[in-house]
Amino acid sequence: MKHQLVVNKSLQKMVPGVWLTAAAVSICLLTVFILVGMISARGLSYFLPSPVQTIVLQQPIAGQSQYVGQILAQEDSYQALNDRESAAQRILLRHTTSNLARSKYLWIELNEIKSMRLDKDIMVVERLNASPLFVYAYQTSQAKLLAKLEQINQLQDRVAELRRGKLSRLLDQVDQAGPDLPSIRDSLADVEAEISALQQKMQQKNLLVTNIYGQQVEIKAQELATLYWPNQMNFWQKSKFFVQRFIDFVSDYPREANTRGGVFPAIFGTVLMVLLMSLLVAPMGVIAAIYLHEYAGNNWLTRIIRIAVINLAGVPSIVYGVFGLGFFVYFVGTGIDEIFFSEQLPSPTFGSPGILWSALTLAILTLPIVIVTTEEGLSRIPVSIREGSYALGANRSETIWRVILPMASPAIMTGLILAVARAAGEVAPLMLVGVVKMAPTLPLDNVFPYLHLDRQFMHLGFHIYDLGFQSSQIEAVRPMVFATAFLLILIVVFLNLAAVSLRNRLNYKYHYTKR
Amino acid sequence: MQNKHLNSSALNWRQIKDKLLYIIVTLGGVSVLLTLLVLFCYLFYVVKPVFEPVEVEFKTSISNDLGQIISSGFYQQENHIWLLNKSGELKAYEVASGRLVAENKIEQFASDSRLIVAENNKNLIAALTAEQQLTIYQVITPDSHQIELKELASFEQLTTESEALDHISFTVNEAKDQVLFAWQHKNTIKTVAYRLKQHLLSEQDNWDKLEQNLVIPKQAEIQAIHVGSHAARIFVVTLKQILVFDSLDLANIKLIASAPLTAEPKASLLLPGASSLLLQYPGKVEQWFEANNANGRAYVQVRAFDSLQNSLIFTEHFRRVFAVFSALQTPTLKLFHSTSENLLAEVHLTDIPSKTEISEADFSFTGRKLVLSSSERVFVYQIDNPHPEVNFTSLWQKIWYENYPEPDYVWQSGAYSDEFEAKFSLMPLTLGTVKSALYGMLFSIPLAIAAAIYTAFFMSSTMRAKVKPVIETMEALPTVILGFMAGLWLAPLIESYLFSLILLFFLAPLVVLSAAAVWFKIKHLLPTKIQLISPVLLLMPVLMVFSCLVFATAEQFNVWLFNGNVRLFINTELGWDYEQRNALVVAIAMGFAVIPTVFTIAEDAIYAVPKRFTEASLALGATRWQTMCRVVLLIASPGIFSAMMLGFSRAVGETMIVLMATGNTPIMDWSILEGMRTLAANIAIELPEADSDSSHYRILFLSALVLLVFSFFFNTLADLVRHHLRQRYSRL
Repeated sequence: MKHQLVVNKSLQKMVPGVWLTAAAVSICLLTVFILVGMISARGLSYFLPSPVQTIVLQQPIAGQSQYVGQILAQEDSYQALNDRESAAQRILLRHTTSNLARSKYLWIELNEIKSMRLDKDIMVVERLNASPLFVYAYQTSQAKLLAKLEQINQLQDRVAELRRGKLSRLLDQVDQAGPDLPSIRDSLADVEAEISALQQKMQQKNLLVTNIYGQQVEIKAQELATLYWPNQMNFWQKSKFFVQRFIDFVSDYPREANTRGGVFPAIFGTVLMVLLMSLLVAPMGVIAAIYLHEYAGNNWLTRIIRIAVINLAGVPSIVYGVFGLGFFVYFVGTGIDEIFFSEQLPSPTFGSPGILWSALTLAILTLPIVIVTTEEGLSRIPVSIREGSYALGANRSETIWRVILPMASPAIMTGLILAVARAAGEVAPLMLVGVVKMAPTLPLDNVFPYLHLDRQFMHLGFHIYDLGFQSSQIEAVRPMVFATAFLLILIVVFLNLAAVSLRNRLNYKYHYTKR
Repeated sequence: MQNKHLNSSALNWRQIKDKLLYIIVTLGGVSVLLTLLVLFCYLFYVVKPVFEPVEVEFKTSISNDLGQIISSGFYQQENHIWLLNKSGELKAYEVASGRLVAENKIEQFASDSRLIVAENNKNLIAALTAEQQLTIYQVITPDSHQIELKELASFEQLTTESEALDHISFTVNEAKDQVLFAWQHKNTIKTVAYRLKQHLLSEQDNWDKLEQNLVIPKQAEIQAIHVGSHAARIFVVTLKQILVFDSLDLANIKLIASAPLTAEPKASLLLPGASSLLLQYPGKVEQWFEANNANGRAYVQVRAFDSLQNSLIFTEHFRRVFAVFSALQTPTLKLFHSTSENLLAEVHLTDIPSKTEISEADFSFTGRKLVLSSSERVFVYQIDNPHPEVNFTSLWQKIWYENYPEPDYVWQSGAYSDEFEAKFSLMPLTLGTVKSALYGMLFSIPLAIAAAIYTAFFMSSTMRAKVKPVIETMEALPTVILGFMAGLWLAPLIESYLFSLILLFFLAPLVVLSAAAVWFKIKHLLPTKIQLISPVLLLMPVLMVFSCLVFATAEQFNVWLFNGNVRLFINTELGWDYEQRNALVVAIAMGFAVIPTVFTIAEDAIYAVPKRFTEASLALGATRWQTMCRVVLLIASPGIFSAMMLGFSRAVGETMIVLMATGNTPIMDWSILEGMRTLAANIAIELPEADSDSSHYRILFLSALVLLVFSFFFNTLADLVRHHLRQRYSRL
């Protein structure tokens, strides 16, 4: 009460220093909010249907005076930089070419636009392995088109199911037994016939649409992913679209050199790597923490180990990457290859970057986090509990195993979650020890031995770096980078909040016990 | 009885378990220390070979019945050696046993023929008869027991002159479709170039012949003529000067540079590379090369080496390594790396008898073997010299590289061709690292410490419990996201609003103070509940509105002050370079990565200052601000110092932000408007492409080791300071 009074009194008079330091706190908080808010807003807007503009120009560009497309960005134009007087702006438009092959990107000066409108009838056709199209329906209603889309999607699902299930199993058998076995040959032929029958059925359902030049064009049913009318969606339809798109984003494979589609392999790779890492780091970290808190005396060795822990926490992450590449990949990995996989040499198995080495490297990187958090948890357990256990006749190992560890388990979990959050966002060391921009196969599949520890994998953080800094059409992928960044922030912030709440619960628990 | 036995065995088992856990846990604890040790030792183990001394080891000596050797070479993984004498006889030996494995000779070798070895390739030999009939042979070794002289091309008549051609030299380019000869003819240099013209229909090779006379100063006494590799340059060394001719266009060879010599050289030879020449004087070797200076191209003396008296000089085939050998007293070999000005080794070759006349010496292509031939015996040595280009000088000091106008710090590791010399100066990278960390600290330290002061000392505990997790969340933000925001969003923003940012920087404190003043004027009019609102919450909307205002009016200011284009103004009016992804962008992004680290530790240190000090100070009549400045900060200063050190250590090792928010050009420049490349970013960029065990790979490991030692130093120091502080607090 008294303390509070003093504080208030000091605020009665304006002290510049206090206000300036308060401003520093405000700035820090503001930047966190702005950063997270902006990434969230821009990331989430990726999942909204963006309207398709019909733009009429004053002067034709590339022989065309009307363009239909989505606006991706707006910025100060170079015209303004040269002109110095006008504050002109320009927009980046994604439109489709007349032969519907690919998307094209075009910068248009705002002052060159005669008119801009939203055409309600325009339809966006998303394709599986190509860019989206902006077309009109041809002599058919929306309901009919949607019904057709559903039929096509069902057929596509059946083909995919056959391919993934029966066909891949048969092909595995072929790999093992050779293609000469008559039974396999017959069933292979059966499956292939079934697939081609489905594909024929699909071909009959090819869509006929009108492109913006009024020509009729056929879209192959096999390529069709989805279609929608962004300019006439109401709020309900938009939110449904939003949810669907989000689900697609986290569950689909990337398409078109990672510029479209989802990030499923990146999420999968991140999760699997982090799980492997947890398996490695949890026992190590907990044992080291128990040593430091329960066993180690107050001597020079303990002091040195503590300094080692602090230093391990401070080592730049790229150094761990260098160590991982040199020691794990080239030294240990090559050694394993020479002993166990000598028949496959010189092509390396474990002697090249892979998910195991990434998990190991990150395990060392996150080891201090687990140690420090677990030790903090151990120190919060009152001495009286240990004494009680000893008094009941338990020895040290029993006390630790039966009493201390169960009580410290929330702290261990907290440490592990913090380690996972750190590992999920770490990119620099992974660039050296196993991450790739495009992995052809997941590290976990239905081929023996199921978990392929030697495979390279995709990672959300690296995906951001790769998309944002290695792609040629940066404006085109920018929304997707924001969406991926949003996803990563979501995961990391969620994990951190979980850790904080766990820690608080632990505090509360022992506060209670102490009383 | 039985019961007791059971009990004791159970007790034993319990004791064993207890012991076992003790051992496991102790091992686990010590393994943390081991991990750090392994980290250090492995990095050191990879780096070490770079600094190991060169070793020269005697392999064998083979008796030689060919007389004077004019060319030699290794083949079959350098396990075999061939020797060629001047009458075209060729013999091959196994190095380990000294056994003769193959022999051959030039068929139809006219006794008056003369053999010339190509300047850039000892496998290529031209045979010139007295009638100037020319044949070019290549020594090829299909397997260890076979050696052949394959005829590459033959020409009717090199020249119409009948007398012997002085100082003749020739080069065949890599594709073997250009041959360039040069020799002296009275007061001119004559050149003959052959160019292969492929005729689609005929099997017969068809060579174009281009002849030219190069005029040289009248009384020049020619000492040597050298045709450079790729036939791009012809160097003429006279006793008074060096003349350099450009022969890139074989039809139009012209003089491009000449340089006077102060003394008369005894011998000269080409160094691998584009334009380097070694001139030998008694006891001294000079290196000369082309350098572009203000007056255009010049041929300059770059450095000199202490050689031996009366020595033979020879070079490696790809690396810039050369050796001098003298058998005048004790036979001595000196091995140099030219670019790094490095004496690699000086060894006495005790297996060679004193005063042996060595006529020909050569390295193998990899530089791992060396052959010295006298007319009686041939001596083979093994040289362990994997990283001649790396030493302290080449890593940390200015080096004058070929084609550069002056000595400079250069990092340029990529190899585009054999002739390209990798440049491994760590200076630009270290400077970039320090620059990015320093600017980042300049931005973050004031903010972080001010925020820590307020949070720990002035803020109510309920508010503090909310603020701290938010800033901790900031620490958890992946740096790849900070980097991506900095590179893709902040960099273009700063480019167009640079002036507003500077304005914001200077005006923000004023705005805060005037907002505070206004608040104290009007707060009496407000309800008590609102009066007690924290300044932090109050200032957030104020700062928000103010920065929006500044950015909204930026356009007018820009037009008014800088004609609407700040970047152009900086480039032309101030004469500074401006890069979009510059140190300012990095400083801000790095700042936000470092703020949470510094904030958390500094806040802890201030918060942990024992309450009795503040209470005593307040009781003596000091205000809270005075208490803060004169008591609390003073006591907490070691903690704040250690927070700053940890922040600096974090900034130095930061990779992704720098990688994404700068252009990653390794330049030596402190300008905040230009980019940089840091050690960490450099590793991330180049290590995936570096061949393991190459010098490049080891230097990247060295930079990782530098980062590790650096962080080790700062972290340990910070920890010691904090430990000391904690003990002092507990004593107080």
